[in-house]
Amino acid sequence: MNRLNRGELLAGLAVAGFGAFLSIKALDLNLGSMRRPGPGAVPLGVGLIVGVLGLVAALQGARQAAGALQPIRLRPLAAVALALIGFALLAETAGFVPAALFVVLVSGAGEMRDNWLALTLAGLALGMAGSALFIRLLGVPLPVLPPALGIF
Amino acid sequence: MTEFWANVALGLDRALAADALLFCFIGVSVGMAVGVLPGLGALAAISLLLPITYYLEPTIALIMLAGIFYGAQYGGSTASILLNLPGTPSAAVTCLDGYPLARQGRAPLALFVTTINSVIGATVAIVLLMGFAPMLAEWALAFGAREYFAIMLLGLIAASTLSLGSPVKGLAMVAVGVALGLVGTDVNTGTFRFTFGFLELADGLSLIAVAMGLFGVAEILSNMGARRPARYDVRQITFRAMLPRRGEWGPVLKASARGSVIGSFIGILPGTGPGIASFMAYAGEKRLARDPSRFGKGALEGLSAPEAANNASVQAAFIPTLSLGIPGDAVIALLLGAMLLHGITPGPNLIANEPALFWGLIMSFWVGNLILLVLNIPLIRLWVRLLSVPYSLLYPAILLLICVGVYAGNNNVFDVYIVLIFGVVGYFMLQYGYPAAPLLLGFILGPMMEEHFRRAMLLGRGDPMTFVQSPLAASFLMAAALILTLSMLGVWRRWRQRGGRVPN
Repeated sequence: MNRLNRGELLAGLAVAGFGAFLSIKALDLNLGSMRRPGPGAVPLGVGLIVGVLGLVAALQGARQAAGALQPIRLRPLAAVALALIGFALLAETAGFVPAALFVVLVSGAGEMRDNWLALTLAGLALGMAGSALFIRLLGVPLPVLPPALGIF
Repeated sequence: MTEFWANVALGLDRALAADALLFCFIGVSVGMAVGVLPGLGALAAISLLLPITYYLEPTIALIMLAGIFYGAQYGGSTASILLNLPGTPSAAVTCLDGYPLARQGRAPLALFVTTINSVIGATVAIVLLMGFAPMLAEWALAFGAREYFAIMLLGLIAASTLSLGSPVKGLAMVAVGVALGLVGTDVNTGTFRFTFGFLELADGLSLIAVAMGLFGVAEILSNMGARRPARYDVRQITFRAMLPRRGEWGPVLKASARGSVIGSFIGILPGTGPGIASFMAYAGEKRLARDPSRFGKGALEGLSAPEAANNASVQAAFIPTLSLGIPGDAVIALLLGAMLLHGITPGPNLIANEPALFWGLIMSFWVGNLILLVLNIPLIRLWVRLLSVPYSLLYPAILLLICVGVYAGNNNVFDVYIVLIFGVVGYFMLQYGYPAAPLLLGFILGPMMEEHFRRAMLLGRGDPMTFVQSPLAASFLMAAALILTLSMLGVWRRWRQRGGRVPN
């Protein structure tokens, strides 16, 4: 009964820590005066509020019965993170179509283990449709294919 | 009165133009689609389409984005009824009596009833909006910095404590949102705040990136690997099966009227969204009923009133947003953010300065709801079929759209990393019951509140009492304090009752 709910406690403490970080960082800014609050005044106040609320949430959560929390699954997290980072690295250098294929395949791997053909086709189709819509029609400044190929 | 009709004519003229009709149709269809598909909400859809609207005229952009918002409320009930899969808190109420009806083989009737109620609720609220918003705006012309600060504070506190989860966590997230809104250049002094040497942060965190991370990527992450529902056979849905029996019309329409009133009232209050409206309407019906035990087993009133309330609140939420510049919930805050990106400042001057935009938008609500009526009754099978698209192919596509949308916002990849950070943070927030909607609300209102706060302090010669010397500001602050005290008392009482344990 008196077991601490570790997850809830840590979550609350994380919020409180964010508040403390804000408040300390705000002290580097000019706080100004009552009459003319400076750029640091509101951040300091908000930081303190976040800190206090985080502590309350942590205290409250620590005594809460552990609910039916879903376990944190690493595979989806890793797949989505890798897909986004890949897009950021590839879009400007390798072009939109390769980046799109990478996003679809890598994020798809977060869940699916078969059906790679469908994913590849979807990635290529989305890459081409996306190029037409976003790059040709709306003028988003991205290359369609690797610029080094000199096709587009 | 003649002025009113002149404005209505002006609005109709704008809303019935070909481009407005087209984008209204696109908006409500996208809204309907994301409403039907579980795990993708109006927030994600609006933030996805926001970058595209840079290429559109502001009025058209707003007509489309608003269409997504109310269209999603229609679509949300479909998955709830057929598969017991609510996408939003308000749709969870639809599940209570909608799903039992579907299990009795009366799913078509349930779909019909929710559609009719959505139209009724929306109609009542749009009429209110037409009459009320201009009046409210005129009244708000007298607002100064302290009144704005006070009413925004009231809105934020109401939004975070009156929601369905823990009020402490809601408040904490509002404050975190305000803090994140402060990132960037301080408008008064030009000082960089919390930019950590990133020049990309000089203009602040991108609204689109934050919203897509919290509502797009986080949703995807928590839906990945989840159990998939069975498919629903569309052949069961025929028009004949949709119509209520003779004795059923009365209770449905009466409940609908009550729901519309509750929903409109709640929608007008700053900081309260469709979720609360649905729950209150449901609770009200259950209390009024002669035999409350019917509820949860397919009571038509339990389906009607919340659905009407939900749609009424969504339309009524435009009243404070358009006339005061204060959004009621996170989705409409995002719309407000969209207006700001288009260089429109919502507030009491909007109606006078941009009558074509204001009235055009309102008149487009009529058009949009009519389109939704057609999409939902004759074309319902199409949407039900959408439910059979496998999620394992859907989410990679959504993720790609998120990437392009975010990139297009500022044409740099920095924002893609911001999406990733907020996606992961948002995923953990979902796991531990920290609501993301108040965070977004705080993020959008935070910078405005700081402006008003600093200006009020300056005008008040550094005396914080200036906030209570204005009767209006004082009453807003009183209301905020009252809500805060009541919700904290509730937390305390539950804490004591459960021997120190608090329910989730």
